Amino acid sequence: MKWSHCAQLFCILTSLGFGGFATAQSLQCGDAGCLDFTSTVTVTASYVRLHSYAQADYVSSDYYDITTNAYLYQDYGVVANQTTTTMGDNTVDLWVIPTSGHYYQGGAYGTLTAYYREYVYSNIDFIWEWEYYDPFSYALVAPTPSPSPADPVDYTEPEVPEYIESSVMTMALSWDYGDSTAPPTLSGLTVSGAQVPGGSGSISLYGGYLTTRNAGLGTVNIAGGITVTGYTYDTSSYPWLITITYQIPSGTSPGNYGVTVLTAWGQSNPVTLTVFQISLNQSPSTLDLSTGDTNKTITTTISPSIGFTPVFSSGFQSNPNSTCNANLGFSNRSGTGSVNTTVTAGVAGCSGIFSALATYNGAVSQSATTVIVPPQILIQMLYGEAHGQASIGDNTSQRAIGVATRNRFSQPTYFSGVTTYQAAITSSQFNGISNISNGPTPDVDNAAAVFAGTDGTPVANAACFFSPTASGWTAIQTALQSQTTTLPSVSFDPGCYSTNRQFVVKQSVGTNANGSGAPAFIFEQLRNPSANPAVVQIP
Amino acid sequence: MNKYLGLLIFLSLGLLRLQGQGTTDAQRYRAKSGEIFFHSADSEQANRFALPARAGIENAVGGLHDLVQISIETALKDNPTSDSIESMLRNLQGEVSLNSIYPEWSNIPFADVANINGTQVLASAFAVLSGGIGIPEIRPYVQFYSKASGTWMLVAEVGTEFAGTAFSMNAVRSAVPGELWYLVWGRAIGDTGARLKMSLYALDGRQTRTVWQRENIRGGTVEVSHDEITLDYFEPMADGIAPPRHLRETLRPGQTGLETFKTEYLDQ
Repeated sequence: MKWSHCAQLFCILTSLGFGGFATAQSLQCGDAGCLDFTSTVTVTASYVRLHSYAQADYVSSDYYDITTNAYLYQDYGVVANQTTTTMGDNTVDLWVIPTSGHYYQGGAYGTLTAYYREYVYSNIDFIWEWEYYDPFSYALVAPTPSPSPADPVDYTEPEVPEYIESSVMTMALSWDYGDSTAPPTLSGLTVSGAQVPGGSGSISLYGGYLTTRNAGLGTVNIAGGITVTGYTYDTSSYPWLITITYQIPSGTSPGNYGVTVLTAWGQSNPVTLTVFQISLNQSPSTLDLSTGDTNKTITTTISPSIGFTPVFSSGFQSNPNSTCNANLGFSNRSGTGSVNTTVTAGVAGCSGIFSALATYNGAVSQSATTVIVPPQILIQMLYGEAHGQASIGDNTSQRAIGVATRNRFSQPTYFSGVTTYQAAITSSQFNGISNISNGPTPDVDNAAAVFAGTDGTPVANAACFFSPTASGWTAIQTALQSQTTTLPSVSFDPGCYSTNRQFVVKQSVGTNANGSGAPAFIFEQLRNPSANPAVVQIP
Repeated sequence: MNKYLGLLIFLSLGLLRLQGQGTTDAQRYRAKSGEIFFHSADSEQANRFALPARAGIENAVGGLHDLVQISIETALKDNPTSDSIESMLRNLQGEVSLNSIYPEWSNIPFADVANINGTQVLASAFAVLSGGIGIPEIRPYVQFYSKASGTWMLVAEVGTEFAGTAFSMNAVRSAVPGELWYLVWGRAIGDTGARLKMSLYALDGRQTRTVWQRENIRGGTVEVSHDEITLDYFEPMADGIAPPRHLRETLRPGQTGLETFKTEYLDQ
C-alpha cells in the first residue's frame, strides 16, 4: 500500500512541475533529506505528551493515576494512529481514553498534593513525525542511499522541524468528555440549622464533576421556593465540599425539596433537603404559681431540635372566689431543642387560672399548661396553719383546711356573705397566717388544688377547723364513740355555727407534727343539735 | 289592806306597762335583727335568707344599737338596778343576744348599777349580731353611764376591740381608790387559735379609762371572781414543734391593772 501511495504522490509532483512550487512550497529539507509535500506520507503519531493545563498553576505537570498509583509519564506513548493522505494540512484524530473509575491527578511528580479530576484540563501536545518511504526520492534527497523502508528514518527536532507538526488538543479529563453525558453529582448532604418553615441554616454536601474550566460552581437551586442566600466551596479535597446557606420561607410546606447544581456540564442529580413540620410540646401540664414566684418555668421542646424562642399566650379561664385577676408574664428565652420559660404572675395577691400555650413560627404546642395562681392569702394561710402543724408529706391536712375555708363560700348565709378568700382569710380568724410572699412547695400546690377545686379532699360541709390538744382529742374520741349529742368542751374550739356545731373527724388527716397524738386538724360543720351527734367521722 | 291593794294594783299596772313596752321593743328588735342575722340550723331557711347589702346591714346594726341604748336610757329613768337593766336587755334581745348564741362563752348582755364617788353609774354591755352563725359579725358595745346632776348620761362607749368575739364582762375589785373596774374578755369566733382578748376598764363616775389590756391569748378561757381572775391558755413553744405549753395564770388587781399572782404549767 505504501508503495502505491508513494508512487502516486511522486507522479503528482512530477505533473505539477516539480521545480519551483515544490521548492517554494513543498520541498522541505533536513539533514536526512528533503520531503516534498506532494509525497504520499504515512503520518503516525509516534508519541503523545500529556501534561496538565496551567490552570492549576503548575509549571509543569504530569498525570498520575491515583487509582492505580501509576504515574503517567510525559511520553505517554502512542495512543492512536492516523493515516492521512491529505495534502497540505493534515488532520489527525488522537485521543486518550481515561480509564473509567480512575482518578487522575495533575501536578508535578513528587509534589502531587491536589487532584482535580475536572479541574485539570489537559492538553495533549502531540508531535508526529512521519516515517516515509519514497522510492523516488532516494535519488532526490540525501542520504544516499535512501534508507530502506524496513529502516525508516525518524525525523525529530531539530533536524527537520519543518516536518514536525505540533499542535495542542485540549481534552478535559472529566468523565464528561465535554459532551455533557456526565453531569455534576451531589452527595452526602448534611444540614446545620432549622429545617422548618421560617428556618435558615446551611447545607453541606459533596459535589463531583462540578466544574468546567472557568465555569465555577454553577447555579445552586433548592426547590420549593427555598432561598439560597449564598454558597462557598472548598476545593482542598475531592469531591468538593460545598456549603450552601438557605432561608426557608415561613409559608413553606413541610416535605422534601431537591437541591441541584447547574453547571456547564448540565444539571446535577437532586439531593434532598427535608423541611420538617415543627412540633412543639410543653410541660408541665399544670403549673402552680404564686404571684411572688420568680423561678417557675414552662419547658417547651421543639422537634426537630432547632434554635427557637417560644412565644407564649395565656388565656384566662377563671378566678373563683377572688377579688382580683392576676396577669401572667413570660420571659423571652431562647434555646435549641428546649427552652425553659420563666412564668411570673402579678399583681401580688391576685389570682386566676390560665391556659398558657407556646407557639413558634406558626406551630402551636400540642398541649397547654394550666397555670394556677391561687390567692396569696390562701398560700399564706395553708403555710401558716399547716406547714408545721401537719406532718411532712401530709398534704391531706393542708388541703383539708383549705377546703374547709372554701366551703364557706357555699354557705354565704352562715358566713355573712363572704365569698372570696381575701375576705374570708383574715388575721382575726386564722391564727397562723404567714407572711410568705412566694409559693413554696407543697403549700402552693395544695393552695392551687384547693383554689381550682382539684384537691380531692372532701371535709363534708365543714367550714371551720382547729388543732385539738391531746386532752381535747380524747374528749372528741369519747364523744364520737358514744354518739352523744352533747358537744365536748375542748381547747381551741373556734365555735363556728354556735351551738349547732358538730365536730368532724377526718380519718385521712395525719397526726399533729407536735407529737401530741391528736389529729392535726378537727373540722366543724352545721348540725341539728337535738338530732345529730356531736362528733362524726369521715374518711 | 286597801292601801296595800292599791299599791299592788299600781305596781302591777306599772309592770304590765313596762312589759308591754319591752315586748314591743323586743319584737321590733328581733324583727330588725332577723333581717341581718340568720341563726337557724334549718338549711331550707338558710337558702331563703338573703343578707342585705353592706349599707343595709350597717344601717340595721345602727338602728339596733340605738334601740338598745334608748331602752337602757329609758330603763335608767325608773329606779334602775343591775338586774332590771340586764333583764330588760335580755328580754329585748332574746335569742339573738350574745349569751343566747354563745351561752358557754358570753354573759352579754351585762349590766351593773353601782355608785362611785357619790355618783350612780351603770356599766353595761351588749352586742349586735349580723351575718350568720357560721361566723357572725359581732359588734360589741360597752357603755358607761353616770347620773350626774340628776340625769343619766352616757359617759363612754368602748369595747370595739371585742368585735367578732364572744365576750363577757364582770366587775372586779378595783386597786385604785375612786374607780370601779370592769373586766371584759372575748374569745374570737371562728379563730383557729381561739384567741382571747382582755381589757380592764375603769370608771370614776365622770369618765373612763382603759387600765390594762392583753390579747392574742391562744385557747384562752377566763374565770372571774371579784378578787381573782384565772386565765387558762396555751403558749407556743419556741421551737414551734412541741405541743404548746398549757398554762394557768392567776391574776389579781394591782396598781397597773391585773397582775400575775401565780402561774401553773399544767402539762408539766
